[in-house]
Amino acid sequence: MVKVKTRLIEMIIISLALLCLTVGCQSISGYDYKGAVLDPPTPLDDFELTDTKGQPFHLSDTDGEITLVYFGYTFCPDVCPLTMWDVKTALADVPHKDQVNVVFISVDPERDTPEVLGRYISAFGPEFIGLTDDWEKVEDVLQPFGAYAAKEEVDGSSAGYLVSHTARLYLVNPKRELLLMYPFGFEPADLTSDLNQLLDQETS
Amino acid sequence: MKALSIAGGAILLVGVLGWLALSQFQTLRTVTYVIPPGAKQNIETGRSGAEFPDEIVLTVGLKDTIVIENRDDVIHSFGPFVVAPHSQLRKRFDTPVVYEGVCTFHQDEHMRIVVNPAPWDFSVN
Repeated sequence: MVKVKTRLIEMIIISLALLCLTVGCQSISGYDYKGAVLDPPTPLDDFELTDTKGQPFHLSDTDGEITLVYFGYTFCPDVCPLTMWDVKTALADVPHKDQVNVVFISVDPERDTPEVLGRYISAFGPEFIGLTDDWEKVEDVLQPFGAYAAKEEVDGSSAGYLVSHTARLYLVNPKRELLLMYPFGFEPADLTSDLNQLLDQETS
Repeated sequence: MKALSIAGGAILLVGVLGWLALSQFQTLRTVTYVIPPGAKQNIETGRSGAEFPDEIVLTVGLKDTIVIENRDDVIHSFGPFVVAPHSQLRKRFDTPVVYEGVCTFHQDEHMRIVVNPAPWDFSVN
């Protein structure tokens, strides 16, 4: 009888151990990013564009920090301001947001002079960096991100034209690799969660 | 004594089955697509780029993770995402959503991703 009880206890222990092992492994296996993950992360070449003070800015200036990259334009009626607002909302709950850069690259350099872009971007916060330059240089920067932008004439619009463009947000890790991306309409809480996870990894 | 043995065996069976189910769950909730080598060139020359549905339907909590493996030498757009050459993209959807967008390995360059709510989520119509 004692032997049977011992065997029963052994079976229970083995069953529980198997379950714990599986659940444990899944939780240890790591954080599940909310953004779309690129594996392996894509290394990015450096580029140079002009910032809102008219000074050259290199992507490599952000090496060692997390950088969010977005392609947009200040005349954009909806997608760009909404996305920038979502980024600002997400950063509000990131304790170490001073280690995060937000790079807004204009796809409408014709109208987005450094001054115009500077006024626009300063409304979102000090982490936001506005970049503009000749269209040819901007076009070169779009390619490694798989992004596009094209001018679209709009009849009867006081804006004259709109720019059709990629609306996703990119996250570049401190090694200057493209790691995550977020489609338009992402939840700010998802970005907050990923940023805090990455920043925790950096500090631990 | 016999009853105890049966009970013990049943518990062990449940444990093993539970372990197997949990370990397989990650695989079961993932749908994987592969962009083959030369997909871009094939599309440009009018040949089939890759076997892809026009619409991908997922369900939160059940089959909610998509993996796109790009074995081609060029970057490809996949709806709201891009996949670098020889890289894979993984995205788990936690909320219902519909995306329509450009797909560079579709003949008509268009695709749609529909993520339905979890069957047990009655807060979403």
